[in-house]
Amino acid sequence: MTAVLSSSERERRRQRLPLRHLDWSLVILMVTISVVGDVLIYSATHGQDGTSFLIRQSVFIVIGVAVMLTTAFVDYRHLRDWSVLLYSSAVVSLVLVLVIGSENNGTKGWFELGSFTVQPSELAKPVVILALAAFVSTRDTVLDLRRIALALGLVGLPMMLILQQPDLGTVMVFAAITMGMLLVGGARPMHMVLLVAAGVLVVVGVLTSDKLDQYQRDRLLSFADPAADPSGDSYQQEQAQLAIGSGGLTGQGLFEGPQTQLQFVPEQQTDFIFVVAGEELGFVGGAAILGLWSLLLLRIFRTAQISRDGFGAMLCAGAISMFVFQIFQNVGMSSGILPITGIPLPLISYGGSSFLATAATLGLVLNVHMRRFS
Amino acid sequence: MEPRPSGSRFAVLGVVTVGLFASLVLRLWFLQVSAAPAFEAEAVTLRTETIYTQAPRGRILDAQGRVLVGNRESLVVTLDRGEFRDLPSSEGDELLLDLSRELVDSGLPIKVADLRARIDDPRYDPLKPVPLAEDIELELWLKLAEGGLPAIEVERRFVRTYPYGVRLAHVLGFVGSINQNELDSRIDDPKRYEPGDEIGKTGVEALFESDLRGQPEATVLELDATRIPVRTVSHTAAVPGNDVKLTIDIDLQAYVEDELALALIGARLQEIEDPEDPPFVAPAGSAVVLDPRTGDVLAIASYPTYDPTEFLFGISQARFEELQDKDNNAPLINRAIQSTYAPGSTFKPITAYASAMNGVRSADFWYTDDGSHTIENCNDQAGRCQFFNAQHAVLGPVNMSLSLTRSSDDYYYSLGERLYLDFESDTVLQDAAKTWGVAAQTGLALPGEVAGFIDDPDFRKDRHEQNPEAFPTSFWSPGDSVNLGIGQGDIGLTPIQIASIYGAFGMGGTRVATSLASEIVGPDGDVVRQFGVRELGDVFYPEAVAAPILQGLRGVTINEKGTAYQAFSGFPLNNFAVAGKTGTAQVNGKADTALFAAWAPASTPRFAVAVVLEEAGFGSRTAAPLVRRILEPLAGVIELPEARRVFDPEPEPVEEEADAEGEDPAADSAPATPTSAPSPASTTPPATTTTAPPPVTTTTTSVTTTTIAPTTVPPPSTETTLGGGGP
Repeated sequence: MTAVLSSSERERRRQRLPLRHLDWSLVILMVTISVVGDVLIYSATHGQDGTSFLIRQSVFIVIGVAVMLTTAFVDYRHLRDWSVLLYSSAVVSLVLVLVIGSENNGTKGWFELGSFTVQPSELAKPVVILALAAFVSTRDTVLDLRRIALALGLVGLPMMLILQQPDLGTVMVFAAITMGMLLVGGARPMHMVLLVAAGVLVVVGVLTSDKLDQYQRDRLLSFADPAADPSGDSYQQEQAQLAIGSGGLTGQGLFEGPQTQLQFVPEQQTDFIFVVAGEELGFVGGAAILGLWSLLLLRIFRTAQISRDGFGAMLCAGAISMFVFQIFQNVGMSSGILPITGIPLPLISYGGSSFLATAATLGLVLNVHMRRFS
Repeated sequence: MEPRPSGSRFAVLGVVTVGLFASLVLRLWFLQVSAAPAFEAEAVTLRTETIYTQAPRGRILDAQGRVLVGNRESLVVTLDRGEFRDLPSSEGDELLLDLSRELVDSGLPIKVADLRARIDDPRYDPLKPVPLAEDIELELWLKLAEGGLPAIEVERRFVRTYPYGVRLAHVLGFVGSINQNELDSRIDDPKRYEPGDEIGKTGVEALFESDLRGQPEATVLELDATRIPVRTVSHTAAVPGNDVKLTIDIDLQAYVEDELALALIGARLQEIEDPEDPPFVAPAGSAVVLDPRTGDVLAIASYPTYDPTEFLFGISQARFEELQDKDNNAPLINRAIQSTYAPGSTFKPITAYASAMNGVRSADFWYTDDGSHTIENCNDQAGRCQFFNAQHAVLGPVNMSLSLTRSSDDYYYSLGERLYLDFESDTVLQDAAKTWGVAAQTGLALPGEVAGFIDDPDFRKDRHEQNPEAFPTSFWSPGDSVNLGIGQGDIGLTPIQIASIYGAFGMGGTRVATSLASEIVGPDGDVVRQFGVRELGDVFYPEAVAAPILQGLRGVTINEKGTAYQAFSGFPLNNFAVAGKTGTAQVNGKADTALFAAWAPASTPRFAVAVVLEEAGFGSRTAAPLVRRILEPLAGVIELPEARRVFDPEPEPVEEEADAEGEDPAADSAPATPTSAPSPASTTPPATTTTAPPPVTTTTTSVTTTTIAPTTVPPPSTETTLGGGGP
């Protein structure tokens, strides 16, 4: 390499430097949505807990942005090489959590680290996206049954482990990721239909087995028949709908939502955070949050479109599948069109593991985006 | 490098994304825009609760504004049933034992069983604390307020006070806890009723319920998800109820009540002439004084009476039945408006009127009273044929005036017969009677006022057909009309009706509705509403017909042969002429009902009076003297004594009431109803130097409070004494 580069050569290299192509709009959208979420969390918790939730989530946001950028800076093609290692450690942590994890609401899914808890099933999400993308995007354009089966095995192992906790919501997120990635990865339509049918069979099987705790079964069944409500889950959902409904077009005003401030909806800083938005910011606020997420998703679609390779596109497909499913399921359950499952609203719900997993996933997308030329 | 996935695959993912987001936005639009008002309303009701607290009830005042029914605070111990049931049963038992001991020590003999009965009593609102003991000592109240005993709370409640004791009890009525029916019928009442609220049950308390009831204090609380109040959303202060000012003068009322009781005692002392005759039991009676110009009731007495304070905190079913039991002469009955009596000879002016109006017999015609009347062409099977004068008296020739003055039965027997037989209509006499107000309510509107009745052939036939067993007779015989001529038989009038009819006669046929209240006064003293005279129309009563009737009725008191001449001897009839009529109505198996009805002064009537004494003998001997006594203060013969108050509604800490009981203070072995002596710790309100009778200012504080403010002391509890006529 010559010691002196011509200025035009320097300029070309600079052009190819990945940092030059960082998708700032995605970063800004990510930070904006996170801050909105943080404010909503504060609104939901300041009555009882003052600023403690606000501060903790702010810390998560700062760490999350760092994680996102870190993930972005290691070339994703190198990450591909590490995917086996990452996948293995994710599986090991999922096994470990079943042994030494702590239990919350009947689910054994957390490692206790001082005053923080880490939820390995959340962190496994970007890892599985990475591994699946690596597996699916090979030179073969056709995703035949054998490879589909292998892909299912790849995702099925962590899913089975998470089902042991049991955490049905996260299992469903994995299922959605798999479906989305197989769809984009080239599975035949007929196979997709069969997969959906198989998924339904699995859900029915799980529901009728004794795998699930009674409370999880109750949640799902109470959605189908609110009158048969042994555990008060339909109460939770009714309260959520009531709060969102009473928000009206423009909401009761930030920090002014009576149902929110009086803690009528349990878990409102985590899974039911959208209720706070609905009541205090109204239809306009709720739609704006969905709008911000739409823009973010648009950036991911755009990244998939311009990605240099199939692997990058598959990463984006996994990210899209995960976010769309989580948002739809979370907002759907808060507004009463889907049963209650413990799925956080990405970037908005309180919780470190979920936030970091989301940030890492977005980091992968940034990674793909900024290396579209190199 | 591996191939890139096809764009169409991403397009499918995009379509799915757009579809899912669109469905979320649609759902939110439905929830937050289309259905938002419903959700908002439901959310508000879910998170707020309105607590209503009764406002002080309006007072009932006499014509001069003196308080007849007021309010006082009572110190009450209550129990939170929910908290109580959460206690282990042994602790609950102990709690009640402790409380009972405290109450007994303070002079209230309330046993554990009594407390249990209260707790289990379904009358109390399950959501509100149950009152366990009322009118407890301030000292004990303060001690319990400090909260040593679990589930035990204290309250101040407003309860009714009766400064004049039992006076006017029947008319004033009483309040009680609202029942389900009353609650249901007032579901939309702006003065919102809650279970456990008090409501007027009888008398003026019931009639003017909507005025007397105050606007309850309303506090809207916001509750959190665990139903714990977090803040007060709004507070509307209580508005005390309006006062009702009656037309009754309590001095006159008290005087009439006492005189009625005395007259009954006097009647009992009469000796029966024949040992076969039923005794003069004189168990009950009634007296009414009206102003015939306005219909205002000036006094209305019914004997026996009852003590309204018995109803203050709810009355036991057994005691309530006792008060309604006929064997006890049903003290709860207001005989002046609820009991009907055959009017006897007091009916004769109506028969005379019917005769004159229908040209049956000229007023100048001298009819020969031969002591009895025999129906022409009489057939024994159809009933009696011969009717005798009272005591078989033979009065000789009488014209209309004299027939009234001397109360000739023969004269009216024959008129009764003629009025039936000589006309196509079977109801000439009945129709005439009805034009004066017989068989119609007088317009008093007080709950329970009955219309009375007068029988006629059609009515009797219908009645028989409907219930042949109770009414075996289906046909009307001339004898029935003969009897009706002297106010006997199937005819019943209330005392107030008789007074009202006589008032109308005195007013030359102008009938006005009776009335009890003159105005409604707001808590600030403003007159909210005034009640004017309600005219019921004029009876066609030409002077030619009226003159001989007036002359005859004046003769009753002024003519030596008048039936009430004796009773009114010495009364200043020249200045204060009395037109009246005695009546002696027969009752099967009992002594006669004595009646006297009158108006005075005869030509410019200001008063109409009717008295009815059950099982008391001749009207001339017992009823007429009572009316004379009633008219004496009205004519200025004697000064109307001031009604004695049982306690001053504006209490001063004087111990006179306790002494007035006349009970041996040492005999505390049976303290059935203790009088709470004023606490020595009480601070006297600034004493007014003038002792003029100031109307009591209304209390405007709200009803329940558990804050301890030992500045006021409840007035001595109303241990009432019966004025002059204890049974």
